[in-house]
Amino acid sequence: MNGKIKAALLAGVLAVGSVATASADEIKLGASAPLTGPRALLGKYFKEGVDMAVEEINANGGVLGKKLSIAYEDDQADNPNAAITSMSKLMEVAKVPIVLGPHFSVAQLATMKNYCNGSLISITGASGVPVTDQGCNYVIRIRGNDNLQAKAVVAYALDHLKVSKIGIISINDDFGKGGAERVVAALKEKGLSPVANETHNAGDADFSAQLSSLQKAGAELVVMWTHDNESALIVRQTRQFGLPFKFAGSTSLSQPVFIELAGPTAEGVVSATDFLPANPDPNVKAFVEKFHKKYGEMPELYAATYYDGAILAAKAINDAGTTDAVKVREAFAKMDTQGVLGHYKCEANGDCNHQTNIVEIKNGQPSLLTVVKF
Amino acid sequence: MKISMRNRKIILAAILVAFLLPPFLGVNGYALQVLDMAFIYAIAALGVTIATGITGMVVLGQAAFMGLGAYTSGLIMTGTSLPWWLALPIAIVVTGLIGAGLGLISTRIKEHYLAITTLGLNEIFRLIVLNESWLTGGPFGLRDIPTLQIPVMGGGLAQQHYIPLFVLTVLVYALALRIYKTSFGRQMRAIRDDDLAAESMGVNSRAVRVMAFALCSIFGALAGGVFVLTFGFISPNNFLVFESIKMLLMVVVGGLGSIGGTFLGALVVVGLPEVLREFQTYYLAIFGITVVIILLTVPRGLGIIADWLLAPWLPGEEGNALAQAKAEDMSNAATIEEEDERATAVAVRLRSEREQAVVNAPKATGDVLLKVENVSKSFGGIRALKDVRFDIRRGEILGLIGPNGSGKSTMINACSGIVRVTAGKILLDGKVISHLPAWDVHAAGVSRIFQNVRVWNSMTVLENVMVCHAATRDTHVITGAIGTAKARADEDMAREDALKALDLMGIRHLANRRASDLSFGQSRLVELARSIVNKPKLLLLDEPGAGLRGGLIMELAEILKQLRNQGMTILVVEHRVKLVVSMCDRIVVLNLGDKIAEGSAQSVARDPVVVDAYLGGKVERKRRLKAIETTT
Amino acid sequence: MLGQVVASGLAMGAIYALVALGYAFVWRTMNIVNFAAGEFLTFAAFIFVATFVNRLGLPFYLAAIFACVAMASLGAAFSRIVFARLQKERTIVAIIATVGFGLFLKEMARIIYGPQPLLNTGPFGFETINVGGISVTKQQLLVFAVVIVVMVLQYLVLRYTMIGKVMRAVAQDRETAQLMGIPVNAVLAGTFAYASVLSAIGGILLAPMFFVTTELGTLVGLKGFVAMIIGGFGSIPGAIIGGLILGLGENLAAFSISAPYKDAIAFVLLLVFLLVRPKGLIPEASADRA
Repeated sequence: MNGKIKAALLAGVLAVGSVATASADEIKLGASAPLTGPRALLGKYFKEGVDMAVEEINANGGVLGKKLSIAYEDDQADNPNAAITSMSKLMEVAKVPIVLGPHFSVAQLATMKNYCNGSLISITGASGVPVTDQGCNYVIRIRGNDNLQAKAVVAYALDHLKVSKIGIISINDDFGKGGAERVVAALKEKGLSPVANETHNAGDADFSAQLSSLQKAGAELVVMWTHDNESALIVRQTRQFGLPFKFAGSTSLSQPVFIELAGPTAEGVVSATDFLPANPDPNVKAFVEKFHKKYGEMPELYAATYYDGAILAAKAINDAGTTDAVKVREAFAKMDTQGVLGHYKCEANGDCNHQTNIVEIKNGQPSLLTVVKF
Repeated sequence: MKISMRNRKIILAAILVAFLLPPFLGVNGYALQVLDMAFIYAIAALGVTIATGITGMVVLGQAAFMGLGAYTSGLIMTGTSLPWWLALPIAIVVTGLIGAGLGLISTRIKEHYLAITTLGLNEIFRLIVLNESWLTGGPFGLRDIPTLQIPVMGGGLAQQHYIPLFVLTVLVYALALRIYKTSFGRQMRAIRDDDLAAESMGVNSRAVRVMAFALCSIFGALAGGVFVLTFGFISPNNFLVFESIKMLLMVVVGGLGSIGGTFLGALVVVGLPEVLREFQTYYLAIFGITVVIILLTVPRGLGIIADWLLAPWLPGEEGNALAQAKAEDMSNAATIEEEDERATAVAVRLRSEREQAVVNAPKATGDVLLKVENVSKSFGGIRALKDVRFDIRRGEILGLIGPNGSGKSTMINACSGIVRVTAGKILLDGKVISHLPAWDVHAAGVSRIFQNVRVWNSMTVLENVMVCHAATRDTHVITGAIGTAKARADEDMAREDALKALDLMGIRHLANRRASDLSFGQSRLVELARSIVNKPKLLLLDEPGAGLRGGLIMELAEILKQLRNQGMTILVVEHRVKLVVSMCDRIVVLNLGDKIAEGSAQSVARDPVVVDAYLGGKVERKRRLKAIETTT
Repeated sequence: MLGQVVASGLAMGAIYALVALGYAFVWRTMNIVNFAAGEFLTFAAFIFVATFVNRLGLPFYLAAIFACVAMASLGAAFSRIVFARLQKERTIVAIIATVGFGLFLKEMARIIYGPQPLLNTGPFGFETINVGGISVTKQQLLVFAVVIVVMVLQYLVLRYTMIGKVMRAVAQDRETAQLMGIPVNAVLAGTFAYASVLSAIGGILLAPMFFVTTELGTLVGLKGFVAMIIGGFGSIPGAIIGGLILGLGENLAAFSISAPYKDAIAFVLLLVFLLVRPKGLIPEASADRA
């Protein structure tokens, strides 16, 4: 009886392994996104963006004359083990030539060793700098990396906000630490160093210690590199304590969750973001309209990012005339096209997006200050 | 389940071979990778099984040990470019040493404290690898670790590593099964079942706990090391407290304490979420509640399957299965009657043996064996013993009597080393033993039984007795696991002597039964066999007759006489005056912590002070009630 | 600004104290440690914000009362279904089972209420008061007020009614208590319900200060347990003092030593206490549990 159970278990695992792959008149791409877990909201936007793109692509004749479809796998955001199995499943079972995601830098770094052998291309919005400096030829990044965002924020702060005493607060994970390092580097280029460099842990809720340190250091502007919830708590507590800092920082500071949670205290916060729904750019406008029509809500950054990702993937396959990953990668190298986030032109390391928007929250809405192109 | 041991071996072999097949059947890399992951976690979870399941110390931080092993081997490989086969052993040794250090702390921190401490250490480990990025690569992890390429196996990394990982897992599990059966394995289980009894019966719980913790961390480090070699990337997120809880989950699903079950638990906890990918949203909640349900309803979990299969390698499983079948045949009443008959028969045999033998019992010599010198003991503000002094002479049976709460049990606890005296000292053969830990007191030649029977329930009767044997007292994990000639000889000697002791008690036929299946009377006899197997100089009996009736009382009395005739010195606590008077050479009477009388049975029984103490003066009754609270 | 660090630390400490009290009560009557206490707090915060405030639109105080009642009944039910059974088990089984139960509660909160953080501004919004140069949020003052009221009420109840004695009797010898006509099961359920209410109050008070996420209670629960150990296992005054010390110590250390290691501070403090003063600051009289 026991043997049977084991056999059944094994058979179960094997059965999963042998799910049929794409049929002949269909091209299947993969997507590795946080569909469950604490970051499932990101996964939801991710999926909405990709689904909309696929619908458009198929309406316009598909890819290589075939219908495009997406195999979704859950990578639980920043859980390396889950990302490894999800990528492995897309690679070995669905045998897709391109995967959208994984989105989190740590998940990218965990899975690279497996996918970089040329079996597939990963198109990602992970902004951690190391993602494209691992010597992996098969990662395509379609957002500005942390370095670019940090430089843009620092430059804007120094030039327009006229501050010189800059403090940093960042979250203690791949996103925050990577960002904070880049802010320090960007300041150094301008001959400055931060007056205080504070960090906090994921899930922290009380920032009085960090805020006190920032105040003691005399910071005028605090550059913040942390997630939506924590950003909102930080600005709220700052106002509660009556501290005078201005805030600038990462993409999180223009995300809808931040604006909702921070409420009135979000006013005047400046950030760098790849996507701004209120951007007057015609590409963005068209995208926002389509998205709103389809889903009845405003798109945000990750919907836009992976919408672009899917469009680019289809274009690259069409350009290459094949789904062979090596050829498709060559097509990416030659690509020079406009998307929702900006203009895409890929460097050898896989960085394809070289611009970002500086925005400020005004009347509860992010509004465009300037577009920074590198 | 009437499948013989031999057939079970065949089934197991077939399953193992089946596990080797997938790479040759063209199973895809994804499925192999999931299984690789399951094997790695099975190794790490085995560490938890040893510490938590077998030794009873809650470890909620195994992910930290795994991480320590992973980071150490990863850093050695990237930093010094040493090959993996050097890096991995170094990492294991380093982690093992740290684990042993924590084990040392764990002897002072138990149960809830240990759970929260290990959890806290896991969190501290995460914070350190996250923040000290100059060393660990910080949140982006350690990225450039060379993976181990085994091109012979063909295919991708997942396929290359599948068979080596499986073989490694099988080896590690075989090792654990082996250790489980050695004297060290018995000691771990004895500590889990009842650590107080284990300590006073000669188990050096400190050494065993440290060792178990070290083993736990070593298995963790090994798993972490092979994780690095397989995946080439580690980050703080790989070793969250959550991962530790997941490993605990594997251990529980596998039936807390079952080695084979742990493997099945790892397969289920790693594999099931992959099979049911669409239900990812729910599976953690389901797992959480499953833990509760398993623990409350089927605590043996998947261990039921695994232990059945592995029975040929588990102690006493065969005999146990037989005994269970037998027990099912008989009604309960019949067994009690039968037991009584058997006890009476033994008693009669012993008595006739004794009467036939020429009485050459060494009479009490007058030479002092145990000296209790001005011993006092306070609990908080309450003094349970006040300046008590008496001697036990070699070869005598000394009775220690007194009303409830008079300090008898405290006295016996002090003599066996599980209670530290507040003042005064106790000497055995002229050497002070009152400052020694209980296991050293036992080694010096003092054995005991407890007032309420304390056998190690999960172990077989034979194992219960073998734990206390001097030959296998020292914890030699390595020689035991290898099975050196000496270790085997010691083991044989312990088994033989244990069987002899059981013979004396007339319960040899129960040797392979699980102690939890015994009746109260049988447990009492096991305890007695356990206490004499190391041929102690002094035997401490705390109300040996409590709860026994009829034939068993007769048998007990005959056994004690027999032991005395063999030259054993006995201190017996009893409050049934009649029994004591018939059995003891001399008597010491305690009341409210004071010694109030000492002398021959007849003189003590007539002593007006003693009579008064037993009937209870008005003044003293109130104080006595207070004392009861403190001594139980 | 140091003043604000102290104020925030004490406010957090007051919450730890509430949770620690829950541990102490459950320990004293049931002899188990409920490692799911933090998740009770999370769950309470979700019920409070998502169900009573957002969905039913109740005002803060009314919603708070309803949330407490809901958690009390949940607590009583769980104590009968799950925790009463755990008492007979070995300590290790009880520990693991409550950890598993905590995981279940946390995931249920996520499944029922979704992953989005929830916002509740509470009765005071962002308002602060200036107390001697320190700007303290009104919410923090509310925390202090509520915790003090809870402590005083509890003291009076335990001191002047039979409840305290009944609880102690049940803790010491359940069978005798039963023979004496004490409704043992009701006492156990009641104790657990009260511990759940304490967690719930913690969650309700935390909700406006922070956002309600599934992680809200996890660390608070663990630190509440640390607080109880520091104060003295099972000791009621110890739980309060331990909580305050932990909250304050952790914030001060984060401020003056190292913020990223803030969460480590609590555990280091725990280790130090376990090695130096394992019985805690105010040891519970050992005779009670012998």
